[in-house]
Amino acid sequence: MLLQNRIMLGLILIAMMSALYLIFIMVPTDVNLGVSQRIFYIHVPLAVLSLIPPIIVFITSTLYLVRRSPQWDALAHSSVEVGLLFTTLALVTGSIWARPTWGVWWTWDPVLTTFLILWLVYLGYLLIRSYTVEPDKRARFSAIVGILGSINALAVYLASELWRTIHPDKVIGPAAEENALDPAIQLGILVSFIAILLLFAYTIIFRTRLHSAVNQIGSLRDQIDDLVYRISNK
Amino acid sequence: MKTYLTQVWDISYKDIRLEMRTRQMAVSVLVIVIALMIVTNLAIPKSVDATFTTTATVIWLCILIASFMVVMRNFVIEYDQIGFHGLIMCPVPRDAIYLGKVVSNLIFLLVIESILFPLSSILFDVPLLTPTVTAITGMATIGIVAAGTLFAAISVNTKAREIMLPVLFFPAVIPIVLAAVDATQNALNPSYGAKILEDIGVLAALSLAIIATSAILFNFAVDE
Repeated sequence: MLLQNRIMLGLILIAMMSALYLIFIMVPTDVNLGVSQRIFYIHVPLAVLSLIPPIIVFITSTLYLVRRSPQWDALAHSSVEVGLLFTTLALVTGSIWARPTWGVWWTWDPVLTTFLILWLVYLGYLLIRSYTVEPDKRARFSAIVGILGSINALAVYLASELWRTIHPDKVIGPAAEENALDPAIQLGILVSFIAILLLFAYTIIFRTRLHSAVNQIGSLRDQIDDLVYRISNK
Repeated sequence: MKTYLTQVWDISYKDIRLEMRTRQMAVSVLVIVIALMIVTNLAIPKSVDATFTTTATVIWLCILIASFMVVMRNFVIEYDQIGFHGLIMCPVPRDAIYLGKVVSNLIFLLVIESILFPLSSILFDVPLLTPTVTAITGMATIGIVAAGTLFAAISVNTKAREIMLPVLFFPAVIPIVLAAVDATQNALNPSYGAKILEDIGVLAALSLAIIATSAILFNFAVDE
């Protein structure tokens, strides 16, 4: 376990350092957007990866409601935590870029608005967990909130595709035009995406293990309490 | 099918009878909503160009607050007097309980809206009592109430129910409220034309999706 963690952390460190080298030294400065465009190498992977937790939460929450296995609840919980972190960072980095480019920190663009809604849904999910005392109810309620919140995430995607937006055109992914980018920029995006993806996977795995361990301790404690109660009543 | 509908109606009629005897909720919600409408109307600067937008925004803000109070009150009364456990033990499907609650909440809200809309029409000097605005209001109200009823059933079971309901409810209904505000201001604009039917269609689809999903999830929410 410790060796796996160390290998994973080492990989993340190498990927992060490579991404930073590419972003600040290798890639050329954008002609139109200037130096501020360099934040895109961090912002785009964060924003794209922010859309993965809702898919995980939808599947794991549905599986929890059907099978009632605590491991699905732990995975949904950790996905929401990581999703909240990534959505916050995507909103902050996007806002830092928007100030010099659009002239405002925030605008009610459909993509920004729906990301903000997603952020609120994640907060709601974590609040319902902290305000529900009984473990079974906590898992059930958060699964319901998770499923409905994930459907909201679909609105995030539809908003960027269907509604009019002032967001820049897509230059990566399935909707991008061919040869839209300089090869150095493509490499920069690819390496920073891999670095942030590794961080994303590591944090989800780490948090899921932690929540599973907490669940096990809770059930062990219940068993000990039960045992003590039986012995004291004999 | 008839039995199922009778079960739904019986559950909602229980709430309606309770409200008709006490008259606590409708009157208090109406007073708060009218006060909110006056305050927001005074706070927003007057502009001829923005009349439709202002009217649509203020009205849907009021409906959102009213729906929050109605769904919360309906479940709090039930839960505090341990009536909800009795309801859960009724030999009826769980989704019939959910739909019964949705129907009673919808009726309370439609009563409030039937007073709010003529009043807003006078105060804003905008023709709100038209078939298109009525259809938009009906469709959006169903969606809002459907989501609110599910979240109220969850929130009453938590330590901080007054905080949890708005935290869960408001973000969840933002898409439908945005669509309703957009459709209402389009309906008030005479030059918008027949495209308003598309807006009503979108609202109907959204409401249908919310009510179907919520009816399924309610079974898990009250799985005691």
